[in-house]
Amino acid sequence: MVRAGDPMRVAVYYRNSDVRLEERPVPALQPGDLLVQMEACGLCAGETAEVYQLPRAPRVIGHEPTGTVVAMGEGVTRFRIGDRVFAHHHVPCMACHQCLRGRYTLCEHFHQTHLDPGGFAEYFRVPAEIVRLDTHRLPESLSFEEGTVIEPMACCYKGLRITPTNAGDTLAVVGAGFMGLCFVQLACLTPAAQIVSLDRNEWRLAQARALGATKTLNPSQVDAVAEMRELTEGRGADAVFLTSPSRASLDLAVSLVAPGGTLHINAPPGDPGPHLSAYDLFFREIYVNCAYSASHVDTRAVLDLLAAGRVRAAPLITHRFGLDGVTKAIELILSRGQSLKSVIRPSLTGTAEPVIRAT
Amino acid sequence: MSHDTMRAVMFLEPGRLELRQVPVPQVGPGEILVRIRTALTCGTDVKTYRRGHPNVKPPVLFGHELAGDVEAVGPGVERFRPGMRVVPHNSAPCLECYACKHGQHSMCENLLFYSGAYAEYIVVPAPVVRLNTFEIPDHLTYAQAAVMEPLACVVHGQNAVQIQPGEHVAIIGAGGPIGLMHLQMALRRGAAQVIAVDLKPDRLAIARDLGATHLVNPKTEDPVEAIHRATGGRGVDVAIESAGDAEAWLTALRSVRKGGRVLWFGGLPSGTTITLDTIWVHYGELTLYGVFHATPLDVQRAFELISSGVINAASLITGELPLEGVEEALRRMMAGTCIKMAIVPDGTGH
Repeated sequence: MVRAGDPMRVAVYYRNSDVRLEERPVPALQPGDLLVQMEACGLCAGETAEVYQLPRAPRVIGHEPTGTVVAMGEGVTRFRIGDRVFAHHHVPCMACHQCLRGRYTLCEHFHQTHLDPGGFAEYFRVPAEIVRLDTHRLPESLSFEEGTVIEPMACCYKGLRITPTNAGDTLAVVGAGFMGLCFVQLACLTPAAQIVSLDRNEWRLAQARALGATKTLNPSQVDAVAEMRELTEGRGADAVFLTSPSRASLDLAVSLVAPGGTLHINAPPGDPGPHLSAYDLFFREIYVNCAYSASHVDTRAVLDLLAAGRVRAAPLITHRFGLDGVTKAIELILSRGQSLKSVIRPSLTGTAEPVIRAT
Repeated sequence: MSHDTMRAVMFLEPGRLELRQVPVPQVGPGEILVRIRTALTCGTDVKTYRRGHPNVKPPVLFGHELAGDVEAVGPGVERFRPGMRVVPHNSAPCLECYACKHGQHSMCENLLFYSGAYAEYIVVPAPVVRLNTFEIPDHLTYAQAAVMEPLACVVHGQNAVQIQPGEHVAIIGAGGPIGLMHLQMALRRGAAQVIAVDLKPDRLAIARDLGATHLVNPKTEDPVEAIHRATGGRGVDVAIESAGDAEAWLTALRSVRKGGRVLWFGGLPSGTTITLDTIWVHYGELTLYGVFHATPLDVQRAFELISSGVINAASLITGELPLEGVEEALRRMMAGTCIKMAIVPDGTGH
């Protein structure tokens, strides 16, 4: 039986090359809170962007956790000890100007809510407001590892939700990493006619084909814009989903959009810009939209899609590390090679070797 | 606080109200005690007075549209302080149920209502204070501000039908307060033509003054025929029912063009049925909207519409009566000799 104040292991981020295993006290619960024993927590590419992370370091990172409820604050009725749960890391206030308009991720309160101390910890506290709004029991059919996919895939779901798609469309996804492959799977749920995945890595393109892409293009080997025109009677893609932060990917994405189509930006640009030529956008009447993070609306939908088997999480998880392996996991994500999602599992102790899924 | 007891109107049973001396309610955490300066009569009050209401269990304090002064604030209230002029909505959603999470706050499974506007004081529940209460700008009277609640419901209905610039609109029951607000909203949304249908000539005159382009009295002509005549035989793009009458529901349905939209706004007694020919809906590709109440976003928008003067709230207030006059005010509503009456507990609503 774990108690508040007991020591627990956490992974503390100092910089990409320096994530340390340290000890912290198990958090104390307030009324309405849950204490969750972390079982699995994904590493997000955004957590390797030093431009955001260094100013906030050192801190316990990890925001895609699942685990088992081991203690409950006063007044919790919807959960029980032993429940397998997913908890989102942010929830909106539901009452401000943005919330009343459904723009939950723009709520100022949204950023102020956190799991305590973070996902890469043996135990984390889910604050009452997150318990109420965006904590869910995992269905039997989903493993803890698969549950870690809910939050990041929800960010893609939101992107697809806000982008108009119609029967017969051609949808392009730039980047076939974890997020790109989420988009490929979600695009399969629209009445689109063609789903085109683009990446410079052939292994990743093979994953995209396995997950439903009707065509893959490698821009380092072919003229991707010309190929896209070939596929669409010269028009281009009706919607392009950009999942890579590089300038080259953005330029490619803009060139792929058909007149009147939509460019959806789902990755924060890796440098401050300027990026988009208004001249380019204007005459082709290109819509541009962006999706930062995801809300309870999106996590709920993705959980339902995963539970129903309409999208799959397992093919996206390629590596596992212990809490002491986060630095290695970051190296892996930055190499952009034959890997997709890495999950951190406290049950793996010592310097566990990554487990590469056979594909 | 100046008093321990106050005067308040209780609803005892259909047809029976009583002005009683009751304790002034105590303010709790997050709540505010409001000294009521104006309460407005509403068609729902009339329905309740006449036949009871499924959500109203008598004996109960009565009335739900109000504005007043903050008399006291409970622990934790930061946005309001004593002396502020405020207008609270009459409900708040839980923000946590399935409907709330989908932005459908009016379908909240735990929608919190409170009543007791026909009284000297009222405690506004904490969720309403947090979500749905506004400080009244200096240029508005209490009565104008109190129009926020019914206008929010109208905004909710308008949000469903989305009148586009240049469309043709008919309002069945245009001369009541709800109809007159729908009329103003339809015009502000760019309706090319707004046909006002009402049984009362003096109410039609008010509709005309507010901009109705055609007036139809069902006592003297068939409204469906008149509406088709006014639209080249086609029917209107949007018909809004705001009479609270099954016949009016059908009139609205029969007045729209093929591909048109119908907003059934007025609630009818439980068990009311209407009979319609399915080919109207199927081959006519009709879109039928049922709406209930309002969301916090609608309330906020209603407050902005009144504050900015986009909606003329004063046009809806016929006159003032004291607390003793609530029954008289409701009878005048029934008779159609007023739009809304302002109930003023202390004799002045300004």
